[in-house]
Amino acid sequence: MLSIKKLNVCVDEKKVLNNFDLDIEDGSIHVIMGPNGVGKSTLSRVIMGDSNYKVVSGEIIFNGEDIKEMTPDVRSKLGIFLAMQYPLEIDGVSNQDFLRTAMSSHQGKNVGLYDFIMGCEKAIDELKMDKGLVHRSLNVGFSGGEKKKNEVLQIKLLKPKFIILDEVDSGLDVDSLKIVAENIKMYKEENPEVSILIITHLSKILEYIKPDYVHVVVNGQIVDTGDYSMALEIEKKGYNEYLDKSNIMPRD
Amino acid sequence: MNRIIVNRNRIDNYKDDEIEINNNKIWFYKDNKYEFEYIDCDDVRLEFMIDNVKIEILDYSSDNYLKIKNIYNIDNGSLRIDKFYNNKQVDEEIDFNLMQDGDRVDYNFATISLGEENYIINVNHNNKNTISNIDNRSVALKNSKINYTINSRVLKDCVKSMLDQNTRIITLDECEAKISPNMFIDLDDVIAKHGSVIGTFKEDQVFYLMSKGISYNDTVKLLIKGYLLSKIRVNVDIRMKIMDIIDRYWR
Repeated sequence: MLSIKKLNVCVDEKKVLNNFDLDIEDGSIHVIMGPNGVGKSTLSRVIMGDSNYKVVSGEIIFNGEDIKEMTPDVRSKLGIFLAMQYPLEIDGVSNQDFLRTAMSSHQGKNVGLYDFIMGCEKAIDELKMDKGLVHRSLNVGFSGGEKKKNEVLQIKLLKPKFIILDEVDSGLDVDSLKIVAENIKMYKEENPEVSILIITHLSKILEYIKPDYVHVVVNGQIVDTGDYSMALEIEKKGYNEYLDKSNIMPRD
Repeated sequence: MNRIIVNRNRIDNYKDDEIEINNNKIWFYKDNKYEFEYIDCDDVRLEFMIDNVKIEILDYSSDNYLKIKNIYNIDNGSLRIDKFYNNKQVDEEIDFNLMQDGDRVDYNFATISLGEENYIINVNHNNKNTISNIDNRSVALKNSKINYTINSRVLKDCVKSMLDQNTRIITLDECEAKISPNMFIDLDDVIAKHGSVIGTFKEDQVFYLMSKGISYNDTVKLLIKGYLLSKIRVNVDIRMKIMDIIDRYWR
């Protein structure tokens, strides 16, 4: 379970999360929605431990442990996974080396090439990925859909307990979105205790992965919580109602 | 691949129908690949004659106090050099002379620098349509001093020549690093590019890898391996040696 209490976060002296509270029970699916620039992606990076974000006060408790001071690799090994909106391209680092190193780190033992290939093959087929992508430099020259599939491949190989999907639907065509969403859904069905936090400003992905809770974030805090029907309502009406209440304008 | 040992600054004289070595001067007679390993070398002077052939050279040196002055004369041919160093000290000057229309050199160098290292690379475009691609990649460790001077010269009338210089030094500890990229071009009908970077790995790359469970040490190791090995082409034997060296520093 993840529990965030009275979290205040700054970047360059600017407050980006403001007394933020959120509890995510094991097995539940939460969605954070909101217009651009209100702190949605910030939340994902703070949970993962990006040192560019300064936690001024508050707690981030994961399965009973305060993870605030932990480095990102330790948080990952506890079972937290962040699928980034823009997975980084790293020239020269082969996808295979990266995946094997990450798997070895999670399993606490060196994962041999044979075990890696065996573990990878099924997942790659399920994601309808080109097998050659494993041998290329990490995300270099990958299409938007291939990058997102590569993130889901990591989920399948690293087997996290809590998954943050940051705008996983951006840059995906209809077919790729379906494959990505169905694979995440499949992982969730195979691991019902896994919880998911979906960060999005569109509700398309929620047609595939039905949430238990939908939260609207404005001005660095949750201003409303509801169920899936709230996401559909927002899809029709937009965020103006929430922005009016907060007296702020969307960034673009 | 033919292996040539430069031992205590000398190569044994040799001759067959592919190569001739005489008094540290080397003539190549057929297209081929060669591996040069420098052992106990503190004052090497080699001259390479690449006439009417395509030659690929793999250079490797580790644990030397290396002083080198090599000259590569490319006369109606092409040369590719892939090179890895991990030495105690280096003072090196190399000349590439591109003599005929269309001659080409591709130079890919990677090093893990420990002590004081000075590199001077002179590329002389002496004819039209000549091509030079110079790529240097260094990782500078604690207290090292690394200095690159790259001089590309294009003579008047050497039209349509292409020259590219790329040098990047990754500094991981307190160290001194300097790059002087010089291009002396006496005409305007050429394509010239250069890039010089001194710095460390990008924070967002480190965060991305660590967020997948990879420790800081292993993250740096992955990035260094990718950075050093992505450009140079090496055989399995040399690759294993380089991996052992990387493992030694980033265990």
